[in-house]
Amino acid sequence: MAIMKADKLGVSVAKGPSLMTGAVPKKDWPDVEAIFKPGNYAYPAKKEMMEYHSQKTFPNHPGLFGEPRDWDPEADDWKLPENWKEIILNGIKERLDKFRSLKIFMDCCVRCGACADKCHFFLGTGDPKNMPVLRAELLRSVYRNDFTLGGKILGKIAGGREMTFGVLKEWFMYFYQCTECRRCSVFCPYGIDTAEITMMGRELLHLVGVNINWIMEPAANSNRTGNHMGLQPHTFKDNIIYLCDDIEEITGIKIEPTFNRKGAEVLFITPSADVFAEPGIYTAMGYLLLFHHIGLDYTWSTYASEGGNFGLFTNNEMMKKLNGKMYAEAKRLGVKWILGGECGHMWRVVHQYMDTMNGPADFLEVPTSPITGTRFDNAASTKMVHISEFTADLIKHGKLKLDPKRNDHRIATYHDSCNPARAMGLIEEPRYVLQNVVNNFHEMPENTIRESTFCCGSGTGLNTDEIMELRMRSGLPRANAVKHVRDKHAVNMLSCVCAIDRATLTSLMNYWNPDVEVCGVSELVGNALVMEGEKERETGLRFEPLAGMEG
Amino acid sequence: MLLQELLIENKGEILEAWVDQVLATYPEDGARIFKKEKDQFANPVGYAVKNSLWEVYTLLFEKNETAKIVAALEQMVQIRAVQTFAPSEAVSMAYTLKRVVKSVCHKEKVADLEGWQAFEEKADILAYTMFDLYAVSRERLYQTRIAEIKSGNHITTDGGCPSKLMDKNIAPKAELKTINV
Repeated sequence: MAIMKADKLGVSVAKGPSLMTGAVPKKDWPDVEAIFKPGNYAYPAKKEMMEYHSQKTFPNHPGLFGEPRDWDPEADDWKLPENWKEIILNGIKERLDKFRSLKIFMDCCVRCGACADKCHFFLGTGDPKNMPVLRAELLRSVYRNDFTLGGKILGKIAGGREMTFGVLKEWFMYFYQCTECRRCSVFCPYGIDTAEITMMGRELLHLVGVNINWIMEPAANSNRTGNHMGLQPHTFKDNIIYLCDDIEEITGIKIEPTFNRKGAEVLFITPSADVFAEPGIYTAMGYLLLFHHIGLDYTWSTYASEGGNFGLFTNNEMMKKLNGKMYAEAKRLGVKWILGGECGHMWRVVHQYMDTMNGPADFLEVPTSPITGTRFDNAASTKMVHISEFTADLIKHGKLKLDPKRNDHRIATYHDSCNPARAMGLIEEPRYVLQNVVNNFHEMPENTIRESTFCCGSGTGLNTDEIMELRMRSGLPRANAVKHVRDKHAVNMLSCVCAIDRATLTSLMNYWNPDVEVCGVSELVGNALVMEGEKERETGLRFEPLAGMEG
Repeated sequence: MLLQELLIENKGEILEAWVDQVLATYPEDGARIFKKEKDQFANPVGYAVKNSLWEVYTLLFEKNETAKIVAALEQMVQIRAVQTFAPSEAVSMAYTLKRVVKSVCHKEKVADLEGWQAFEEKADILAYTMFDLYAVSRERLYQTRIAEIKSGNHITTDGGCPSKLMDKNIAPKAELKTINV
């Protein structure tokens, strides 16, 4: 690389292509090429993974994922099928007919710009193609060119763009720089759900075999063993038993949960990360303590052993298939209703799609808490209740014995996980729970929480380490708000109700605010619960000393 | 007029030009919004750049300011260390300041060699500090990546089935694959 004089550097940057994305500010956006470099893209799916999906996940749906192959995003040849353009255009046509929302979203945007500065990817990068309006325009321009009269006649003048390899590259870059968090939708006067545009973009890319491994491998694991982690039944069970051993060491209470038990009243489903990965396992210990505390008649399932659904980030066929096990297992076990753990996108799938895709669950009852008698009419159609709703109801009825002082070593704040907050309106329940289990709690600024919450920056299957830099900049708006309460109130614990958050916010904090830890709300519940017959607690669920027990 | 007087009297003009030129390192459409939005949570990049540069400018006239300079620059450099800049661009702000001040000197016809030497020394301290902060940020980024790999998160894709990891013959192989990521 030529050595430039210092005073020319700024100019060269402003006029030359950015080294990572190729974003050139002085050109019109359609003329800016997407350039793939190490660190700005997630690795493509392994060939054997796609062979697995073709042969095992969808043996009767040829073409859903293109031809399995090894390919390199940095290469000029992506080994696409010869008729890839035709496949994409047919795919758009099929989806315009099938999904009315897509047709509306393609037509009704007036480019008012209300969404432009609301995306965490845009705020962290300044890249105009990360403005939701422009990201959608990547697809909309092709729609205009080939599916509207104006575009067919006037082409570029009407905002149309021909589908080219360059456009396909842009799609792969920017539809994987959107976490489908839907913050932009909150500000759109027309209610355009940009997440659905990204979903369609990714579906179309799959048709020609353009995909990422971090999504396709967990999806394959999920299809094979029931969960993303690929845990087989005995391992899933063993891990929970290990957690029970830890609980016994900390509290003196022996918990013996049941698995795949027919006739249980409630089936409990949570992300497999809660069973296997830190810090999710502490959240799972919280669940175990809570259920033991109230004597809930429930069972775990080693088949429906995953709440998350990477199908949501793939295509609607995959989402439906991976979700199917929830109702299937509930029916097989003969439970009355389903209780769901702390997960983010699981709740978008459950709340907005499950009933349509795999319902009606008429073999289940409208969930009623056996402890308080509360009937959860909000879950009358899905028959599935969120753990925070369930816990808040228990607290409201005085059914839990809590000692919030046991969380006095924590100064907490709460991150509204995108999907529970914006896709199912779960906003007050976790806060009510937190008010009752921690003494030190501080909210982040209003425009960064509740419906306006900022994404962790790594959702929708982007939580892979090869794009760590990208994740750190897209997570900046969230980290920036955490920094504020850390500096002002000495906050040291970021609580949330999402398994991906628990993993990714941990990395985000490691970079931006290293002294802030991350936990699930149920972990703090578990710490505070006073169990009958317990020994004096000296540590929290992480074996960390409680306040006053440090010595 | 002495350079120091010029720096104080033209503070507003210099800072505006400095902030503008630093924000011009972002794509034009992005920079426009970064300049306009005042809320620090709705505009973390624009706010950090403006805040850092304003704070550090006042420190140019103070003594024993090293810790304060670090505190003032930290967030801005940490942000630029994970954005799509070459390292030299990411920490080019001190040179941008020299350029801005030179241009104001030229306009106001100020020729104060001693003053310039003192100012340049300060500007160089900013440059060195930003270089150090950049290196620390990159180091922290890699540590973050390593910590995540060690946390078991990668098992979702790189470890094969965790049940199989219990087989000691397979575990070392899985570990090697991780290092190659």
